[in-house]
Amino acid sequence: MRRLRRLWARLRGLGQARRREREWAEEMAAHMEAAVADHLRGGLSRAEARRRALADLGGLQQVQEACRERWAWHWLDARLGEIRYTGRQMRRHPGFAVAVISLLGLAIAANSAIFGVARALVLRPYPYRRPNRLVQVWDDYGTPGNTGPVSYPDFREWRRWNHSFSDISVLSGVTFSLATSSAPVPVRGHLVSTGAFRMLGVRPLLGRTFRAGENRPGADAGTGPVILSYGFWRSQFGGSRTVVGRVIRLDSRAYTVIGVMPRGFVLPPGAPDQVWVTTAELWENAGRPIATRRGYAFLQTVARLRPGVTLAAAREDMDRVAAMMRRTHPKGDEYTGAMVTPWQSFDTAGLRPVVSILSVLGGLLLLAASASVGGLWLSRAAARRREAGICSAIGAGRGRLAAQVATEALVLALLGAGLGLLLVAGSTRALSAAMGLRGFYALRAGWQVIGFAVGAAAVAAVLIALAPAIFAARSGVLAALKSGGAQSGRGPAEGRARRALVAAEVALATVLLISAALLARSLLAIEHVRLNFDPHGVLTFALSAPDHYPRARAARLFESLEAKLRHLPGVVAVGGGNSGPLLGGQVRTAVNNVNGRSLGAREIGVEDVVVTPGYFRTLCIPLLRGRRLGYRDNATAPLALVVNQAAARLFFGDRNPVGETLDPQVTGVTGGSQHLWRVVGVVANVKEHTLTGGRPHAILYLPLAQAASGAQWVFLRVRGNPVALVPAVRAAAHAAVPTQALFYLHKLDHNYQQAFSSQRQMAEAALAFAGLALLLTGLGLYAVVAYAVAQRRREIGLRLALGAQRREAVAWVLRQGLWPCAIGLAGGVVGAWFASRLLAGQLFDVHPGDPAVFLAAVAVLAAVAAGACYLPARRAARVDPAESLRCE
Amino acid sequence: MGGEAEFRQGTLALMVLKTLEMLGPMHGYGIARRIEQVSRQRGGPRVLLNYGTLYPALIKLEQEGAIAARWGMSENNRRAKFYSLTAAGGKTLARETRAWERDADMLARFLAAPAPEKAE
Repeated sequence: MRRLRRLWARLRGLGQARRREREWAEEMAAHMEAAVADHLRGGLSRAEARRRALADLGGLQQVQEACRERWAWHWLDARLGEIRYTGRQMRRHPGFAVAVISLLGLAIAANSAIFGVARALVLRPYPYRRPNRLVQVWDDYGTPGNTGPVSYPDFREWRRWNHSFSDISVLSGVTFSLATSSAPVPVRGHLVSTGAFRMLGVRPLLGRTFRAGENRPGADAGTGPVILSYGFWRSQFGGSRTVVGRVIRLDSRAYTVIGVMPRGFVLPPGAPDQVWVTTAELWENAGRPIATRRGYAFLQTVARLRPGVTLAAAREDMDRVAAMMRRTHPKGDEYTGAMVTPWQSFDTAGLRPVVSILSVLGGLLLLAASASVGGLWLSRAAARRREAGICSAIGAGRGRLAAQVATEALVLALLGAGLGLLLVAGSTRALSAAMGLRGFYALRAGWQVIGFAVGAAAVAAVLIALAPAIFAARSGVLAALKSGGAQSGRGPAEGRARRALVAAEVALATVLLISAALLARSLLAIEHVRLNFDPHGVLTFALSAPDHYPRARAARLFESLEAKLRHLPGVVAVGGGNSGPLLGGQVRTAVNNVNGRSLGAREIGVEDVVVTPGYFRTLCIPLLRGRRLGYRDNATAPLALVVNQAAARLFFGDRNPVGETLDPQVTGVTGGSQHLWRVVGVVANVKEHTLTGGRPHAILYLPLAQAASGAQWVFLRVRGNPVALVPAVRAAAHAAVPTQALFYLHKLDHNYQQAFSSQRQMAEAALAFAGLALLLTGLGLYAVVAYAVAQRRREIGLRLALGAQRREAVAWVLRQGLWPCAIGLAGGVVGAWFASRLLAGQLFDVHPGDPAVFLAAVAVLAAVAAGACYLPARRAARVDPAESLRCE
Repeated sequence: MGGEAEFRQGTLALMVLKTLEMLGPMHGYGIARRIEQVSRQRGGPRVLLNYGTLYPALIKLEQEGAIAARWGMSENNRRAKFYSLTAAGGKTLARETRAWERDADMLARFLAAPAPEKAE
């Protein structure tokens, strides 16, 4: 009971530490006075009486300690008091508080957002069992990073001969048209090996996953098995639990639903996939014998390392397998074997440097913001020195003052973190959309991000409090009282601390600005890359011919659709191809007869694109020699193809290739076993896959009328807004093939933008950070110099009165501000030189030490610094000497 | 050690309560002086090694609600904190006094008891 009462008393007293301390001091004073009076009556001198009274008490400090122990929660109490005091301070200076909190909020938001992106893209492990044991295996074309998909026959050999993988599965994107009572619905999916789901360690929500042998063509009496995603199940089947066993029609083939995957399941990560089917698909593609020919390399793979097998051992093993396969099936000079890469880290390899660079730049921004806030605060702390002196006189120790400083910093930083989190939470969805992150990679403002923001706030608080706390602990507080406050701010330690902070801010801003400028220049260089095609003003979509169409009928379908589209208002040109620049994916074929000379057992792999006559004109691909493909290159005409420069060089060296022949493996072509295609033209190397990297790939362009393609990208060059054409395009396609759905109807421009979006986002973020850092630097510098001028107003006035020139006053002020700036600039340039080495890998066509960038950044910073110093300097020059004389 | 400290603390608290009961509201210094004087008059040992130890005891009693504090004017016209016994404090005093007398009585009888006769 008594304990409860004491607990209650303590709780009630929480937050009253200041009052209690004051009352305690008063009580002690009363005690001392009464005791001294007693001793005086006893005949002691005043000094002796006081000494005795203190001795009787047993030391003030000890009594205070003992009492505080009784009060308990003193620590918490003291903090609450400080927090309340901070609140009062902020109410008294709302502008300062708002400025500081928004600066910190922006810096913390930027860092938290970057962390969110890093987590989504790099840190979060793939949602499968032991994802770090999952790898991908690729065909390797020798040069680093030049890996590609594999053909189905080669994949089967890998699976048969390797000793490294407990299982290996293909992973290849497919599209279907789902037959419904109304218009066909486009469905995206992947085909996988039957063991894939077991290998990944995932279980279905309903039904089962694939069984071994289910991928045999024609198994299950003509209806192949299909597994549905959670989203597709909900949207198309209303989440009905009886869906398992139902037969659905995809691309006019019947499939039996055998299972539904749980919510959130993705395969592969980042793909908005809806269905998964088996590799039986490969055998049923009527257009091309893609399951049997080594030339058709288009499959990605996923494999699980056997327990105990390292990545290095798996690579060695696959080198052995590839060497063996090369002996039985020679592939061409550029093909060197198989490459094993860790799944997740390979997927995100391109993003890693972007994320780490942004993290570093964000960290610098947080440092700059903290330094700036610390500096602003130091200026204000100096103005509060009198107040600090009073606190000290009534018993607040130096530790208490430092604690007050720390608490204020923490409160500001936490409020900043709160604002930052609001900003992040509010922008997560938009940011996710802007960065094209979805599925597994979609950004989430989860507790990790909250934790990160709080951590960032703690770091900021420490950085902010550092300088003021050191200053508070060092400077004699009593000296402040003696000096009366008016002359304060002269302490050499304090001045030095402020100048050091300014220098640090300038240095950080310099590093940020130079990094941002380098990235921006690199972005400009990328935007000026010669594409050899024009992605702007082009509308595109993908369409598959029904499976049962023979290749000639499929070709006629695409040609008649193009003819109809050409007559739509605003359409300038129409063309089609089974792949297109920057659309992702590639189709490969093989050549083993050049100009009538057989290469023996060797095959040279190249990309091939099956195009309609309008392809080159619609995409504006320059013709270098000979002619383009045309309507005369029809089914009955001699076989004709166009090569790009890289293919011309690969097969014919420096000779003029027009008139020479090649024998790409293309099925369905009538005639002898040896089909020789005559080169009729050479076109420029189009940026087919990336804007910045790699050698141009060798590409053969074959006419649709002579080769086969069951699926085409159709391109429409449009005058005016391409989006306005969408309804007409849909209607035309539906009229041509009512059973087939349109896929990926979009502007080709989008793919172009996506191709360098990470570079653009990086440059934009860096520029935003640099701009914020410049603003911070300008503000911080202005505050420091303006404060120095205000402090020395009287002195300046006196000097002017004693005959000093106004010019000298201005020069003095400028020296105050510009010296630390110069030091900061020098340090920043050195720092940026190191930072630019780190950036080098992300820079395209820009030297990391680009002198123009460095000079421009230094000039901008110098201009900002001069501006920030000039305003207070002008004020110094206007000081009225008479006023100072009156004061003295 | 702990037992001894507890014992002495309880003693001091009892003395404070008794003082306030007999003399009415007093400030800290007054209470300390009174305890000191009474214990010295009887020729006993010094109860308060120093006056400062009184203040934590006062805080504890106040937190327990046995005493209440009010600001008033001291004899030399200074603002001082005056402590007075609350109703709860009165009850506590009565209970503790009884317990103390019982313990003291029992202990005295125990210590005065003659040695038992030895069995032959």
